[in-house]
Formats: sequence, C-alpha cells, structure tokens
Amino acid sequence: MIENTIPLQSILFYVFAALAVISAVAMISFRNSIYSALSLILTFISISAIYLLLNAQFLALVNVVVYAGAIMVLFVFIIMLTNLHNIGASFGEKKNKSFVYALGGGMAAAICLVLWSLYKSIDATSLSDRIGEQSNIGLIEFLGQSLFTKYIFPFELTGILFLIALIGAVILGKK
Amino acid sequence: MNIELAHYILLSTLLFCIGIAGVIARKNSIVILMCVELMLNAMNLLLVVFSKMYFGGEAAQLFALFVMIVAAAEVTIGLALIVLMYRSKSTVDIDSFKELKN
Repeated sequence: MIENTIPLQSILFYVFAALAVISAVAMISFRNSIYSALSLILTFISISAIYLLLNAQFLALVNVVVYAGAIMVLFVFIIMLTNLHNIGASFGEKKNKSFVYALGGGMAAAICLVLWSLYKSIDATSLSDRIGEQSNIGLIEFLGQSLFTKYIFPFELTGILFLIALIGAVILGKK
Repeated sequence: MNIELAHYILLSTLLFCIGIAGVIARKNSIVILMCVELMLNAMNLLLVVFSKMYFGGEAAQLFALFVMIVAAAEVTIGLALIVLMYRSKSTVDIDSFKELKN
C-alpha cells in the first residue's frame, strides 16, 4: 500500500514544481501587472500543494488563505488603483542588459548550488526514511499546542507587529 | 518519500533566482514587491523541506508561519508606501524616483 502512494506523490511533486516555476517565470515576463499577480497566485497555490505533499497541512492552509487570498487581493486592489494608464510600460530599454546579466548570474548560482547539494546529499537522503513516521507534525493540533505554550511570546509579539503595521498603514494613507 | 532533497533545493533556488531576476529587471514597483514575496515563499519552502527531512520538529514550520506573518505586515506597509509614491508622482515606475541620485 505504501508502494502505491509513493509514485503518486513524486508525480504530483514534479507537476506542481513545474507549475510553480513556469508561473513564476510568467510573472516576471508579463507586461501587464494584473497578469503578473494572477501568475503569482498560481505559484503560491502550487507551493501550497507541495506543502501538502510534505505533510505540512497547516502551512498549506495558511499559505492559501494569507498569500493567495489576502495579500494578492491587496496587490490586485493596488494595481487597479495605480496602474491603469501605463499598462505595457513596465519594462524599460535601459534595464534589459542588466536583466540578462542578472538572469544569467542567478541561474549560474542556482546550478552551482544544486550541483553542490547533489554532491553533498548522496548519503544524506537516507535520513528522510528515519523520520518518516512523524507525519502528524504539520497538523493544526500539534502546531497550535506548541504555538500557544512554548512559542507564546513570539506569537503575542506578532500581534503587536500587526498593530504597528495597521497604525503605520493608516497614517501613511491619511497623508 | 523518494524525491531527492536536491530536487527540493533546485525548486526553491529556481524560485528564489526568478524572484531576484524580477526585482532587478522590472520597473513597476508593485511587481518588484511581488517578486520579494516570491523569494520569501521560496525560503519558506526550503524551511518546510528541511523540517521534514532532517529535524522533524515543529519549530521550523512555526518559523515559516512567522515569516508569513511578517511578510503580511511588510506588504501592508509596502503597498501603503506605493500608494504614497503614486500620489506624489502619478506613477509607480521606480525610474521616476531618483531624487536621491547625485
């Protein structure tokens, strides 16, 4: 029964990984900002699906609700408020050369890091079999228990952080 | 799980590099902020992968949760600043904001 579920997980991981990368590339290459925002929502949903495959159910839920829901709605609102008349002017001629250099450098760094980690993780991947039975760590019950006991102080600090962000946004918006 | 760790690292690094390329190449400040969000998400993915593969505890997932919380606050302030920028110059193009240059 375990043998039946493992290839399905692999296939789903590669499908969602390819979807995340393709929609991320589409995000930085669309000229219209609305299309960029919609592609970024697709990337976030793919990342949430990968969280589900990694048994991080609560994080997948929070990622969809907070990122693909709240934050991207905010982005779409601001795009609608600001960017209606200059659609198609978000790429400039001056930055294209630096774009190519940055893309090449970033991809080269990525390939170097991946080759290095391939080299380092030849004997380290067997570690994942040892922790395979702790699959309930990402459930809301366990995360909530440690969030409200061991990590209660950072959790309360995030409340103060949100209060500060709220006051800051209101003050900036009233100017 | 027979997906290798290197494939997760490859996915996360690719997303992070796409975010960097977007921050450098795009001129629309809203899209730049979205690329920052993509980079934060790539880092979160790596945190969750390592918590699953190596540590096995809940601390890494809670840290990823706190990263999401801080990112939400950051987006709120960043978009408020972008609205201010738009009110002062009627554009969100970052090449229009070079008063500090020279």
